[in-house]
Amino acid sequence: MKTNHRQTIALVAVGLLLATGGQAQEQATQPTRKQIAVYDSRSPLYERTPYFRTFFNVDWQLNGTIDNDIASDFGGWGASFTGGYYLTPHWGLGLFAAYHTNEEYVPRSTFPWHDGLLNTDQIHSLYQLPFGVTARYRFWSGTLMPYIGVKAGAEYARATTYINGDGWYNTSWGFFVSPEVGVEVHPFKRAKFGFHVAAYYNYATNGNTLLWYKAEGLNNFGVRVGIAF
Amino acid sequence: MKKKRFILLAAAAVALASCQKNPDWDDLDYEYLVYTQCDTTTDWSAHASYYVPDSILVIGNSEEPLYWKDGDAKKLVETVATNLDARGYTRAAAKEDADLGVQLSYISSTRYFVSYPVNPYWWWYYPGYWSPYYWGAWGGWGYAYPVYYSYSENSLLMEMLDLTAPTGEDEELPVVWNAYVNGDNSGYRTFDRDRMARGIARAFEQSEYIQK
Repeated sequence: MKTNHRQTIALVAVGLLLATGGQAQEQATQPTRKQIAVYDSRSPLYERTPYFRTFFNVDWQLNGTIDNDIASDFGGWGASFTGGYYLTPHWGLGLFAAYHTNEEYVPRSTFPWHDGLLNTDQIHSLYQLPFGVTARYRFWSGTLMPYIGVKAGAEYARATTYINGDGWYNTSWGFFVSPEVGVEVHPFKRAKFGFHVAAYYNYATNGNTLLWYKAEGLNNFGVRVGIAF
Repeated sequence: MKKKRFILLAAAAVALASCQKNPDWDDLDYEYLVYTQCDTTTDWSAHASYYVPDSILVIGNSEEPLYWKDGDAKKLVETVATNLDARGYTRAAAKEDADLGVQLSYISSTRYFVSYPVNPYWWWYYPGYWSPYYWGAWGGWGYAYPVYYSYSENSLLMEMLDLTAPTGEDEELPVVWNAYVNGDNSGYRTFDRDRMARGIARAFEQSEYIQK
């Protein structure tokens, strides 16, 4: 008698599993209205919840150096270019390249140099050019599209001191990584054009020695403001 | 359309390498660069007098020595003399009576310069350069320390010599201090002369060891 009860229970359980599994599969094959909206631009819902499979940002960049012996500066001579593709509604991959120059005027002073003393003023310039791949997680789609992302790749840097009309420089290469948080704003219902704002920190392993100045590793923070399309 | 975007993005990336900002030269103070070196074994207090010629040797396009003697040159010579007087030295009327000699050279052109020799003191062999015989019976020049800079136009070179060193055909006249003042030529003679004079004064300021 007990054996019959167990068999019955087992059969019911299997039946339930098969039924729910079938239903789940049925759910997977039949997209929801929201999923239709995000994938099918022909859907009337698409206009209210635009979903872009690609992303392009062209930004003006404000960059500040952190603990940098060559150029301690926060300035806006830079730009950033990012482009990619959303593999899922949330996850995107792409490429980026950026450049920035930070400058600092060093007032006249006397320095020991090669067994002598050098008296001069200087202009220090630190030029950074990182490029590589980017990954982005978009929280939701809509007029506002906030995201967090990370960039990684290589960086070329050139540190220059301008003295007396001449420049002495040193170049270096290193690895680059940068976390970022930002938002795309798309206020136009039928146009993909929008705006982009992001804040970032980045670190590059470049080692720069310029005359008697050293910067082992480059730390930066900044803000990007630009367009998205 | 997507292909165009990628092409534009790639073109922008290529252009990035040339996007370094040029410096704003107006931020510089337009004073001359000054570099000084010395023989650290010199006993400056052992010397009492100095002699400086009243004219400046010009290293330029001529193979023959040329001397700069006008009012601007006199101002620069007097600036050297004023600074040495302030440090306790007495200006001698004749070079034979002096312990230290100061020679000033102005580089207006490096026309005859061909290449850097192994010995970095290329200006010794420059046409028309000071002869050690001008100062006395020395057979050549002697620097006790290496020089790490190269000369360029609109430069003033000051060299201080130990005239108490042993003389002789095989003896070298030692250079115990030198200063290099250099900057752009603005084209305004008085402005450039005053900048050069301030450069001379700065050279002595950073050479506090020159003291009787």
